[in-house]
Amino acid sequence: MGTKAPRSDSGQGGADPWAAFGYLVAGVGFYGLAGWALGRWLHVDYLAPLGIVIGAAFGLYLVFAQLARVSHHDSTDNSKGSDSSTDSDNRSPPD
Amino acid sequence: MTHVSLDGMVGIAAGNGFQSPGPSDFEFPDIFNGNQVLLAKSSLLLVLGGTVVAAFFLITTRRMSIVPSKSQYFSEEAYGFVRNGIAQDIIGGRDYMRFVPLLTTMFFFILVNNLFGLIPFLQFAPFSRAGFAYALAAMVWVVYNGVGIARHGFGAYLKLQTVPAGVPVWILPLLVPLEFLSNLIIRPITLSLRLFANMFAGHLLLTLFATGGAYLLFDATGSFLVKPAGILSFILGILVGFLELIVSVLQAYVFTLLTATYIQGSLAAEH
Repeated sequence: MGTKAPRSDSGQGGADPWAAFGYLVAGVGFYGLAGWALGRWLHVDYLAPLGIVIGAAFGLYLVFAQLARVSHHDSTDNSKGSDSSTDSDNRSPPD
Repeated sequence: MTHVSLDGMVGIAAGNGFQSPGPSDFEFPDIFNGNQVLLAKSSLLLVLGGTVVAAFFLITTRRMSIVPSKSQYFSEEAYGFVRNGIAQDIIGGRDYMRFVPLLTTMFFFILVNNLFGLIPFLQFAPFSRAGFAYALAAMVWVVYNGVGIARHGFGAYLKLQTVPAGVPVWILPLLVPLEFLSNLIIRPITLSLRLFANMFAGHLLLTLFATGGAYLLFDATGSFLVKPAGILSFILGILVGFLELIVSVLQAYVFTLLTATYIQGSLAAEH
């Protein structure tokens, strides 16, 4: 294991590969349902599709916000990567 | 209809037509014909899977030595794969060692159970019953929320999981419900459904090709193409079997990987 390339200390998490799916389902579901309920209340029929579209837009926005966050996190990680690598090698636990 | 007696799982009706496999093929009677749900084939296989994994790691590591025996080497490689390839890669830092036991057992438990779908006579993957997958995902949900609350406290953890960082403040009230649903409600659902649906579809495909092939070869009459089609069905069934081998490993890996990702997300200062 000592031959492997040194790893950054913090792990690479934060990028849940299924987050995009979760955001889109949550957005469409939540605002679609809200639009449908509001439409029932106000007796208009265009609020459910409107809610779905708006929800999808918010979901997409969250996906992009997360991607921006992750790429920012990566770039800060690389800049300090050189000095933390020796640290993590020493700390690797016994087998 | 000799093949029916060979394999009780195969549900071809005694009539003339072909009865295609369906969700009812996933329901097993209790071994004592009673109402003890815990004693059906699927749940007994689950117990067997746990026993196999535990026995493997106990036996191969009982006499540990500096120069490992073949079995100790294999078990160390397996453990090292989860430790370095999943836990250290995803969680990292000083925290990851705490979760290696959980992730290792989880990976091999799911893997062995999935492989049961391809082993003759067992040939059923317990996680193609949704209830087992739900239970596993519920456990993951408790773990990643538990470690998050233990690390940050309840309020701060809720803020971490529901308030997205790096977005303008005025839009937050609109996004908090989505972040909440996505991180705390949809995660366990997709986690369990992905495992369940993959194993369910795989078992259904295998059953379809096997029973369909048997029906075409032995029972169907009509065109001269019927028997070649039966042979083709068996060949396709075998190929799907190899596909299922890949799916079994992949689903165990994905489930463990996502568990590690969720734990890391709960431990992170902000994400």
